[in-house]
Amino acid sequence: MIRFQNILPKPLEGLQHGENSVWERTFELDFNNKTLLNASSGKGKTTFIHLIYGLRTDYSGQILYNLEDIRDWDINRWTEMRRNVYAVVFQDLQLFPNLSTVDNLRIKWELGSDLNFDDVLDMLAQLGLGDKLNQTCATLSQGQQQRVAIVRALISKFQFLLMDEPFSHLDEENTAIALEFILNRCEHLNAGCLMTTLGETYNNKFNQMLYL
Amino acid sequence: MIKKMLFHKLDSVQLLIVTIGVVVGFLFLLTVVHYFGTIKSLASGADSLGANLVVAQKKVSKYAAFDSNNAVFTTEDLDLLNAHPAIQKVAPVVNNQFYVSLAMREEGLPYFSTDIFIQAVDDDMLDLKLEDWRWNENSEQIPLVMPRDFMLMLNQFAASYNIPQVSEEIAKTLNFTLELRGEGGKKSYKARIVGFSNQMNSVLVPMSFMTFGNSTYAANKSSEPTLLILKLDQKKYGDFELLMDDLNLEIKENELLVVKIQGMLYVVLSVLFIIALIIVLLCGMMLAQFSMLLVSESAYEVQTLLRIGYHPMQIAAHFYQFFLRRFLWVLLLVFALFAGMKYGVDRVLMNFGLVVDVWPSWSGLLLVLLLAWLIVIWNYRRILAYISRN
Repeated sequence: MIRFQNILPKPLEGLQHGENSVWERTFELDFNNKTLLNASSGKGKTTFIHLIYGLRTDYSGQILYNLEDIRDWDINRWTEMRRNVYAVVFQDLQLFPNLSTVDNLRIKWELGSDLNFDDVLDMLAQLGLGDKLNQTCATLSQGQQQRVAIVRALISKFQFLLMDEPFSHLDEENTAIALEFILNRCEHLNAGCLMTTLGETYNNKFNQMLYL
Repeated sequence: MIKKMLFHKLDSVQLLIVTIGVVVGFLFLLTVVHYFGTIKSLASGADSLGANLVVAQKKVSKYAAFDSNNAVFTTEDLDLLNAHPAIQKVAPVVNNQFYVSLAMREEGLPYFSTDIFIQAVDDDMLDLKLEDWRWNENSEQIPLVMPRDFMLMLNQFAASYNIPQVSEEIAKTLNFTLELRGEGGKKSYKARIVGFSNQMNSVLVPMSFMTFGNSTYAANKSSEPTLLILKLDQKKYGDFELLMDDLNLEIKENELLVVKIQGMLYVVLSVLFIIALIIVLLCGMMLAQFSMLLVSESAYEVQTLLRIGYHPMQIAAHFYQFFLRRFLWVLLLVFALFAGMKYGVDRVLMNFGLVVDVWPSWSGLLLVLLLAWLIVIWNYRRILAYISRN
């Protein structure tokens, strides 16, 4: 569980926030919940994900993970969290463009997974990328890269999955397949997730809604 | 896979330049340290007398040849020598004042006997293990340091009887007898050779034995020193030459020449050693810059690896292995080049009649290995710190 205490990123200081905004509020993010973070562009969705994931520390207030202030964590603790607790789909995907699809997935798989690698490739095939295994990621379309990034995030045995607009380049059909995969994987691992979105509700498959 | 990704922007030309720099630096360093050691071993290695020692006596002019006191070192002379900065230690050479003969009785070998002249110097002027040089009245044998000329005499003797030549190592196993005669009577003692000297023309015995011999067998119990052994500070041999003139001293000319040449070579090699160290240091810095460039060119890949759960040490380990492997190749190349160069230089030295040790200096090899290891570790820690900051 993560507790947010009056968090406000420095770049958003002085701006007006809505009554139900997460900024400058105290609330908790339960790792058993599937949460949707809904906001229009420029409200700080990516910033919110980055704060939780430890990529930004320029904020006021406190973020507590099991009562520990995450700002006090060193690189060892963050590595442990990123390996065993969190999984993430970045908005800019953060794939290795010069490596093949398979190698991009293997790099994450080699850090440890409850899946064998054939299961991972099977997941990729079901998302329509079975014929792109040896193609370098730089040559894949944005939508294809997005699916590779989603599969990569699902490889580890995570407790909480962070996703920053993971379906922004997917059509409805692929979005539905990918979402099913994500929710099934969370169910299987008894994990929660947080997904940012520009307004979609995904047929109310999420049980908590946050706003910026 | 990760390695391929991290090094895909590697500039081979830059790597080659850095590698050549490192090879040159280490080769220079190894060469200087090796020949430094060689010169040192030439100075001290094979002589039982310690390094930088000279035996000095007073010059005897033809007008004073019959005045025995003219050759004696007075207390003032000794004080002056002791206080001189070019001299680290002064010790008198004590002579026997009784008759001594040396005999060899070995089964299968002809009997050999000769009258000899023995001398003693302070124990700390000798480059011998103290336990080999210790003597008291209960000791079974008297340890001896023989002049190298003795081996020549012994082998001429052996040749005249058609028996095989004797090496220094074999000579150390032979049983000798020292017969002492004088006012106190006559007695034989067992003796054995423990070392050889080029600088002394007499047989050296422990000071404790000389004191015992002179007090037991000599008619005249006290004597003034006429011969001194001096330990010189090589860096100040010029001052010592002036002192020699002032005190009317003389030493073997070739001894001083050796000290002079050694002193000059030490200075030259010390300067070259410092230059070699600076070159190696610069190579280390060049390598560090190259490493940082390499890491920064892979900044996106490094950052992404960290974000998906890789520890900085896991990433830095790839750079560590890369540079460690290259350093091992560099060291092999350095050692091969050095071996080739040493072979050539040693052949030239042999043409001049100088036979040097065939093995490279271990201190040089160890220094090069140590510095290479330090550079690799230092580089690794810099890379790790840089990655951890990401």
